[in-house]
Amino acid sequence: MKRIIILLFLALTFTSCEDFLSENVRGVISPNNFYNSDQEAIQAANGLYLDFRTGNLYKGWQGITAWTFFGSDEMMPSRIFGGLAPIMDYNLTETNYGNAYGVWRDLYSAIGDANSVLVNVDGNSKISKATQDLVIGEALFLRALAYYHLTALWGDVPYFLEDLPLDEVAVLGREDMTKIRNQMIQDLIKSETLLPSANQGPNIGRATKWSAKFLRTRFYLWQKNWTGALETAQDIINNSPHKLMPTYGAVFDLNNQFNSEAIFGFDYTKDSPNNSQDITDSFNPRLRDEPKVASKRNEFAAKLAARNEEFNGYGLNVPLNDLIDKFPKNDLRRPYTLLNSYLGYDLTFTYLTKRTNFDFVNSPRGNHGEAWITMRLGQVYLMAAEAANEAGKPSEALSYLNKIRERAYSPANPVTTTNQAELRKAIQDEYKWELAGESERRYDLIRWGILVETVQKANYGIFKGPENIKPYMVKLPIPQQEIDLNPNLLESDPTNNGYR
Amino acid sequence: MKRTLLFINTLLMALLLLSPDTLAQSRVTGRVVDANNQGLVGVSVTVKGTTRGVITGNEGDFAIDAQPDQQLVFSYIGYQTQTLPVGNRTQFNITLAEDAALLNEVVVVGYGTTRKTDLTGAVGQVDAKQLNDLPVSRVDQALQGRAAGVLVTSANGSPGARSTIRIRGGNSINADNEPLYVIDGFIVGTDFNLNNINTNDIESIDVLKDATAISIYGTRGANGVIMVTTKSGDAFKGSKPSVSVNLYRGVQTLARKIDYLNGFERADYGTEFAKNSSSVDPFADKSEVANTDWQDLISQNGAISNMDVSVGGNTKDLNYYVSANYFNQEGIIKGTGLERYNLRVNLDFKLSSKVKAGIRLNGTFLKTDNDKVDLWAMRSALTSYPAYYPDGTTFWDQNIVQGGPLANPLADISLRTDFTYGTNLLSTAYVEYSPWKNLTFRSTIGPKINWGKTNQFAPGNLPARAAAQQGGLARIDESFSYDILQENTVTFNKDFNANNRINLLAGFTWQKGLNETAYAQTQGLSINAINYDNLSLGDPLSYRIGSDLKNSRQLVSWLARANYTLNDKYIFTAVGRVDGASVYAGSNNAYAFFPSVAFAWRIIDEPFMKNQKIFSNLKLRSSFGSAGKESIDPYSTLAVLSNNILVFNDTQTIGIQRGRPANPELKWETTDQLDIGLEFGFVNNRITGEIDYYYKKTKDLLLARQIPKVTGFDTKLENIGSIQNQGLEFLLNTINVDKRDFGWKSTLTLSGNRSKVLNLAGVDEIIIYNLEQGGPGAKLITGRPVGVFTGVQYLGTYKSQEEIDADGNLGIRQVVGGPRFKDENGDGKINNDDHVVMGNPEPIIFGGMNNSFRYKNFTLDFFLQGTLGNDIYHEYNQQGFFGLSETNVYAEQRNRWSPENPTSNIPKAGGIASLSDVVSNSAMLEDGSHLRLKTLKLEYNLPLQSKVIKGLSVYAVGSNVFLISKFRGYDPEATRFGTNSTVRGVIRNQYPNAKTYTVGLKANF
Repeated sequence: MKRIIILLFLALTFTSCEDFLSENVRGVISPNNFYNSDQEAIQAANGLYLDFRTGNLYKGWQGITAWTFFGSDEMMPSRIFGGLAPIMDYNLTETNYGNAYGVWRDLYSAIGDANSVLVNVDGNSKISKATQDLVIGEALFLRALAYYHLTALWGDVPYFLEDLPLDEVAVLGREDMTKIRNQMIQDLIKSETLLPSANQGPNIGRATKWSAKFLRTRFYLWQKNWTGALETAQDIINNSPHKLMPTYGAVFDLNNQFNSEAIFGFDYTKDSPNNSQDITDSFNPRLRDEPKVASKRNEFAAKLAARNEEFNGYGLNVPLNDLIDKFPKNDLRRPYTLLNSYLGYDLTFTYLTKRTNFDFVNSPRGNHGEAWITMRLGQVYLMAAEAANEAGKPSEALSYLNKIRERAYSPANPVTTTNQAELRKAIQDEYKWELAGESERRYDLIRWGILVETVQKANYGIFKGPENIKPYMVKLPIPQQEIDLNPNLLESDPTNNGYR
Repeated sequence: MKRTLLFINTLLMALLLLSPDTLAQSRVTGRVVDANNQGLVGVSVTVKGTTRGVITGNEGDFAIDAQPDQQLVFSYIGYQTQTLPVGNRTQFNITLAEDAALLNEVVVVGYGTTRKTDLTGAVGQVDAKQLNDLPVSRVDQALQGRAAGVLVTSANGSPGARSTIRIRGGNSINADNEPLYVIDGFIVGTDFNLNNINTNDIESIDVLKDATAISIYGTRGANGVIMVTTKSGDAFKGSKPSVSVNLYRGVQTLARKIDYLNGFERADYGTEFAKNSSSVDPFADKSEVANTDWQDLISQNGAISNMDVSVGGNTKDLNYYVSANYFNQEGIIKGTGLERYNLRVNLDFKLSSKVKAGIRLNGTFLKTDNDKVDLWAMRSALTSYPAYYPDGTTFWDQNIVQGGPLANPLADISLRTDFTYGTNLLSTAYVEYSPWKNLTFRSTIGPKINWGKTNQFAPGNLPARAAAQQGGLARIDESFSYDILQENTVTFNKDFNANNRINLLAGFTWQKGLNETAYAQTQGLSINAINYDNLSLGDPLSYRIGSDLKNSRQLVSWLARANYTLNDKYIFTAVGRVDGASVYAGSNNAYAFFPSVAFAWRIIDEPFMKNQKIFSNLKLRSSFGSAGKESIDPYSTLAVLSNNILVFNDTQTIGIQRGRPANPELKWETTDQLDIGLEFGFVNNRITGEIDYYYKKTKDLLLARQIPKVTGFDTKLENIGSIQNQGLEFLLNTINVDKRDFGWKSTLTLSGNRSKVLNLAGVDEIIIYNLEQGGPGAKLITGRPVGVFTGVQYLGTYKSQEEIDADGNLGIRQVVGGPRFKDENGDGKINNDDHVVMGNPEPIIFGGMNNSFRYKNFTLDFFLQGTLGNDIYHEYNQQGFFGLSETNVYAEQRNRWSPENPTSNIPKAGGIASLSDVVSNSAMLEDGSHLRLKTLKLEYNLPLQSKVIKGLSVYAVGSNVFLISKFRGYDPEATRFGTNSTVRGVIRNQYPNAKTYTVGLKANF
C-alpha cells in the first residue's frame, strides 16, 4: 500500500509535459492550415465579398452612400439624423466625420484580406490554375474597388499591395493618389484577363471581366484619361453580353434584378440571417409621416394592407429638395425616381421610388432581399458620352447620351448641342436623372470640380451644407485618432486635406 | 477606549443588577490575574444561575455577593473560563489561563493551513456564520464589505448574477481582474459559477492578498485568491448524526425607480421636440397618448425560498457531512429567476493511523430564467405609449416616434422563452499518507464538469419579428466543459523545540480542461406551441449551426514553500511556483517562475513587551514577491481565420476572412507586490485589528492597444505598459460587551486603493470606452488612475443667440436653449482635444461595518456597506437629461429651458437633434458614493428542553433595507461592464439590486 502510493506519487510528479503543453488547435483555422484546395481558395475569395457587405459599406443603410449620394445634389435624410449630419451640414472635422472612420477601416480590411488571398493563392500548387485565375481576378478587382473609394474620399492614402505585417502597415504614410490609381488600372487590366465574361447560377453576383472594366473606366475618368475611358466604355457597350433594358422601369424589376443591364452589385437574400439587408427600409416611408393629411392615416393604411403593403420603413433616405425642384416634369424616369403620392394620397415627403418596396410579405422590414446594383450599363453610356465629349468627339458623345434619353422621353427629346461646355452640362445632368440614388453623384461632382458650387446653389432644406461647405471639404479629413496612432500620415500633408 | 469599554460594561452590569435579590448574601472579594501575575481588567465575574455579576477593576480586583452553595464564573475574552464553588471562601485569587484555542486559530492558505500566529502574509478571514441564512444564491453576493481590501460590487441584480470583486485594486487592463476561486483545494478559476455552491455549506472563507499568499498559485494568483472551505464532519462532536434543517422564505421588491416624465408630459415634450427640430409631430393625435409606467409593469414582488437539510457526524473511522439544498428565487423583473437543487457529500475516512482518504463531492442542477427584457432597450418604450390595444389582450406594437415596430417590454416578457439549464459536478478525492509523524504525502484528483444548455424562442408575433415576417426564432446553445486537476504535495513539519519550527511544502500539479460548444438556430417557425422543441420545422434557408472548441488549456506546475519559526518570534517564509501553460505554447514564453518571501516579527513575545499593558498582541509582517496572470485566451498567439455565411443568388456558401494576426510575443502579466502589515490587540484582545499597506506594480500588461485602422483591425493584444496599485487596509474587531445575557461585537473594514497608470508603451492615453455616439468616455492616461472619465465641460444651455455667435461655429449643433460645451483649448471646435479628466470610478474609501448584538436568546446583526468618493458615468444622462425624441427623459425635464423659462440649464426639447450632438461631458457624471444597510438580521433561539430537538431558532432578514445615494438611476453599483477590468462605474440601466425581506427557521436534531 505505502509503496504503491509513493510510486504513484513519483510517477505523477515526473511525467513528461512537453506534449502536454502543446495547443489543441481543433476548432480554429489559420492561414497555415488553410488554402489546401480549390474550394478553400474560393471560400477565401468569398470572404472578400463579405468585406464589402459590412454596415459601413454596402450592407447598412448608413454605409458608403453617406459619402456617395448625401452631401451632393441628390439625396438627403428626411430629418436630422445623427451619423448623417456632418455631411449634410458640411461641418466636417477630424473628429466629426460620421461613419467615415468605419468606411476607412472596412476598406483597408478588404485590402488586407485581398493581399493575404493573393499571396496564398498565387502559385499555390494545391490549387488548380483555373481557380487560381478566378480568385486572383476577383481579389485584384475587389482590392481596386477599395482603393477606388479610398482615393475618391481621401485622395492620397496609405498604399500597400503585399501581405505586410501589421506593424509595417501601421506606420505607412500617404501615397500619391495618381500613382495608386495607375497601379489599380494595371491590376484591373490583369483582372479582366482572368475573370469570366458572365456568371451563371450560384455564381451570379460575382465579378466578371466587365465589372473590372467598368471600374477601370471610372478610374480613367478620375484620371481624366478620356481616351482610356472611352475605349473601355465602348468595349463594354460593344462586346459585353450586357444590353440596355427596353424601358427604364424594367431596370428596377424586383423579380429580375441581375438583368442584362446589371454589371455588378451586391446580392442579398430575405430570411437568410446576416444576408438580408435593411437598406430598403431607409428608402421606404414610415406611416407616422404619411399621408400628408394625417387624419386619413388609418384609411390609407387599410388600403395599403389590402395590397399586402405597408409603409413600415424608416422614411429617411429621400431625394434632396433640389432634385425634386429640378427634375424635368416630362421625364419618363420621374415616377421611378420621385414618389410624392401613392394610391391617390399626397405624401408629406417625396421618396425614391426605384429603391422602395412596400410588399411587407416578400420584402419585410429588416429582412429585405433586394440586391444593391452598383454598376449598370446605363452608366457606361454616360461615361462613354462624357469621355467622348471631353476628348473632343461631340457627335460620338451625343450618340451615347441620346441612347439613354431614348427610353427617357416620349416623344423623343434628344440633346443636340455640340458645344462642349453645353454638352458637358447636359451629360452631367443626365447622370443625375438617370442614376439618382444609385451611383456616386458626390464623387462625380468632385471629379468635375463643381461640388462646392453645386452644394452652395442647392436647396438643402433643413440642412446647412450650402452655408458651411468649404473648398477643402471635397476630401475627407483623416480622423484624428488615426493620425494620433500614426503621425506619418501628416508627413506628406501637414494640413490633413486642409482640415488643420 | 479602554475606559469607554469599562464604562459601558459597568453601565450594563448596573442595569442587570437592578433586579433585587431577596436572599441573604455574603461578601466575596478577590483579584484576577494572568499567567504573568498581571491584573486583568474587565473580567466578568457572575454568580451562576443568577443575573448577578460584576467586572474586575483596574488591578483585577472585584467584590460580589454570593451564597456558599453558589458558583462563581470568571470569564474573559481570550482566556479559558473558570467556574468555582463559593463554599466558605470570601477571598478568591484567580489566575486565568489563555485560551489555547485562540492561539491555535488556523488560517487556510494555499495547499495547507497555518496557525494564525505563524502567518507571515495578509489573509482576510470572513466569518462564514455571518453569511449563513442570507437570501443570496451565491456567496460572492454576501462578501461585500466583509474583508478589508476586497471591493465587491454587485454588478447586476438579476437572480444568480455574479459580483465583481477587486482584491487590492485591478492589476490588469485587458485580462479579467477577478480573483481566483479555490474551493476545498480545487482551483476552479476566476469565472466559476458560484451558484453551484450552497452558501450554507461553507465553513470558512479566506482571502489571500499578499505576495506570499498568492504566489503559490503562480500564474493565476495575481488578482488574489478566495479560498472557500466547506463544512466537514470534523466540526461535529460525538458519533451520533446531527441533523440540521434550515428554511427561509421571503419577498424581493424593486428598490427604486427612475423618475421619468409621465406619458402626457412626454407627449408634450415630443410635440415640442418635433417643432424645435423641424420634424413631423408624432403626437399630433393626443387621443392616442397613454400614461404607462413600464417600470411598474415589468417588475414584480419576487418570491425567494430556500431549504437546507444537512447531516453531519464524526465517528472513529469516518467523518461525514452531507447536505441537500433547494433554492428558488424569482427576479424583480418579471420572467427572471433561478432554481437550484444541490447535493453535497464530504467524507473523510481514517483508513489507518497513517493513511487518510476522503472526497468532496458537490452536484448542482440550476435552471436560470434569463432576462427577456433589456432595461436599456426599454428606453424607447415611452411612457406615452399604451401597453395594450384597447381590447386589452393585444400588445401595443407601434413605435409612433421612430415608426416601425415597438419592442414592447411586456410582449417580450410574456412571449419570449429564454432559460438555461446548468449541471455542475465539482469533486475531489484525496489520499494522505504519513509514513512518519513529520512527513505527509498528499495526492488529490478530481474532475469539474459542467454541462449547460440555453433554450431560446422568440415567436413570430413579437412586434419586430412580425414586421420582418420572419416567423419564430428558436435557438439552442449547448456547452460542455471539464477540468481535471491532479495535485501531489509533500509536507514536512518539524518542531525542533517548543519555539522553533520548520514547515516545508513541495508539490507538482497538472490541470487540463476544455469547453466545447455547439448551437443550432432557425427562423420561420409558425407554431408558437412548439417553441424551441423542433428546430427542423424552420425555414431551411435560416438554419444556422456552429460548434467550437474553446478554452482548451493545459497547465503544469511545480511549487514549494518553506516556513521557519525562530524562537517563536521571527517567522520566515519563502514561496515559489513554476507554471507552464499551453496557451503560451505558440510563443516563446510558455514557462514562468513566481517567487516570494516574507518575514514576520511577533513583537508581543519580545521580553521588552512583557511589562507593558497596552498591547495584548503585536505582530509586524512584511512580504514581497510576484504572481502572474495567464490573461490570454487559447489561440491568442496564433493567426486565426474567421468564417461567415455568404449568399450568391440564393445559394449559401462560406466566406473566410482574416480573424486575428499571429502574436507570438505574448507573455504573462506579472504583478510584484510589497506588503507591510501590523496586527494588534488591546485589552486582552477585546480589540483586535490589522493595518496593511500594500504596493503593487503590474508589468507586461496585456492590452488591446488601438492600432491604426489602416491595418483593417481596431486593436491588437500586446504586453505593454504597467500600472501600480497601492493602498491601506484597516480591519478592526471589537468585543464591546460580552456578558452572559448581552453581547455586542463589531467588525469594521475600511480600505482605500489608489491606482495609477505608469506606462502605456509610449502613448499618453488609451480610450477604453466610447459612447455609441459622442466620443470617448473613459481612458487610461499615464499618471492617472485607471479608467478615469473624460469629456468636455457642460456649461449649461445657450441663453441667447449672442452667446452662440460669441462661440462661433464649434462643429456641433448650437441652438438657443440647447446645450453649450466648453471649447477647452479654444481652437474653435468641440472635439476630443477638449476632453479633460472629469471623474474617477475608484472610491476614496470603501468598507463595511457589522454589528452583532446578543440579548438573551435574541441576536441582531446589522451590516452597513458603502463607498465614498467614486464617480459614476451615467450613460442614460445623454438621453434622459439632454433629451431625445425617441427615448424616455427624466422628470426634471419639466423644468427644461423654454422662452418662458430662459434661465434653465436643462436643455430644451429638440435642443439636441441626435445623440452625436451630446459629446461626452461633465453632466454625464454623478456621485457614486453610497451607504447601504446591506443586511439586518434578527434571530431568536427558542429555549427548548427537548431530547429530539437540540436547537430551534427563527430569524428574519432584510437585505438592501435602505440605500443612501444621490444617483439618478436604479442602483449606483449595477454597472454596465460587470467584471470588465478597466471600464468601471459606467451605468446604463442595469438590472437593479432588489430589496429583500425573508423569514426563516432553523432546527437541529
